[in-house]
Amino acid sequence: MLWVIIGLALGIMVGYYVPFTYPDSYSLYISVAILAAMDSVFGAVRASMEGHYDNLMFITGFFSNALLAAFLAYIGDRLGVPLYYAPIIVFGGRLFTNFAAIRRRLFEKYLSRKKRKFLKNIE
Amino acid sequence: MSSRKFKINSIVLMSFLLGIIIVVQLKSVNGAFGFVTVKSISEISDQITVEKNEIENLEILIRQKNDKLDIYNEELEQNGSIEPVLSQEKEKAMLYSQTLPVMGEGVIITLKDGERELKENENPNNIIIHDADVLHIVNDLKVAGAESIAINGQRLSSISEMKCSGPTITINNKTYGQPFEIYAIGPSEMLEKAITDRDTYGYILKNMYSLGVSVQRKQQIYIPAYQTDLEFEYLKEVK
Repeated sequence: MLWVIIGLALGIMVGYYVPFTYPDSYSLYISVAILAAMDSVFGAVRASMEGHYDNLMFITGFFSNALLAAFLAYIGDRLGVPLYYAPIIVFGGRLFTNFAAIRRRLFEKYLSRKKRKFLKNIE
Repeated sequence: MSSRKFKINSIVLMSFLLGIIIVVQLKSVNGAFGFVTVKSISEISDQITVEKNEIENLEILIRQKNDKLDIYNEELEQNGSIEPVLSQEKEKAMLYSQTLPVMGEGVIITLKDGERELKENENPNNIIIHDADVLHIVNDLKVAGAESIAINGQRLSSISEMKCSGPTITINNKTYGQPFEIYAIGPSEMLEKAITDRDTYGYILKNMYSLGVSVQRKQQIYIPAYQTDLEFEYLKEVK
């Protein structure tokens, strides 16, 4: 969790100074890809908390999900069907479930620590 | 331990990448972001062509105005005043505003009430010329290319009215009974056809309602000037 925040902060700082922009017409694809990448990162945090984190799965999922989401949005634009809804719904929904799981983990940690302290005090 | 380090490294690296993409996206989108559909793209391109046409027209207008300016300057240099040019323009403006008498090839159309006997229970309105009939015929003439129209000596201007006043019609605030003589300058053959051809309004009036509709083609028709003094109450010049 801490590492994610550090990485994000670094990325935002570097991205702020990178003199690179792209045409507005690509922004839809990129934003869907960002959603997919965010889902991957959240998924990785959750998996590492639950103890079944797999490095290869994370890295491949990060790129392939982002690419697939952007590709779907692009194909949807070509076909005139708003296919970008699919990544938005799937990754958006998963983002919330992942976030809920992370929250529960954190609470459990915090509460169990408190309980132990409480029990120690009683003793 | 090294595999744990590797894990942390990759998570940091990925979130680093994510941060870069997010910021670049934010910079590229510039706040206002809307979904662009295929339909809106075609609409916008239509708008662009319309605007381009508008620009072209405005450029043509600028060129015309510049030409005019050149004419004025030339006249000023040669004769010391631009009065002759201005008086020419005034004549032209008067011609356009229908305040000069004009002559030319055209047609005279006479509209008379029908003279047949009414059938049983038939509405007598069927054999009377109404203001709407005259309006319709005048519009047919305009469609056929009439350049100037007068009814019973009243020149039709852009705001001439045709009002029903019982069995008579009021045109330019002057009231006339039937027959109505419509003078129209324009391509006489076309004008005649616009009244007498099958299924035209004039044809229907003549053959279905038995009203008196007659057309004469003339080489020279005189149409008087629009005489009513116009006083504008609501209209203001745009400067």
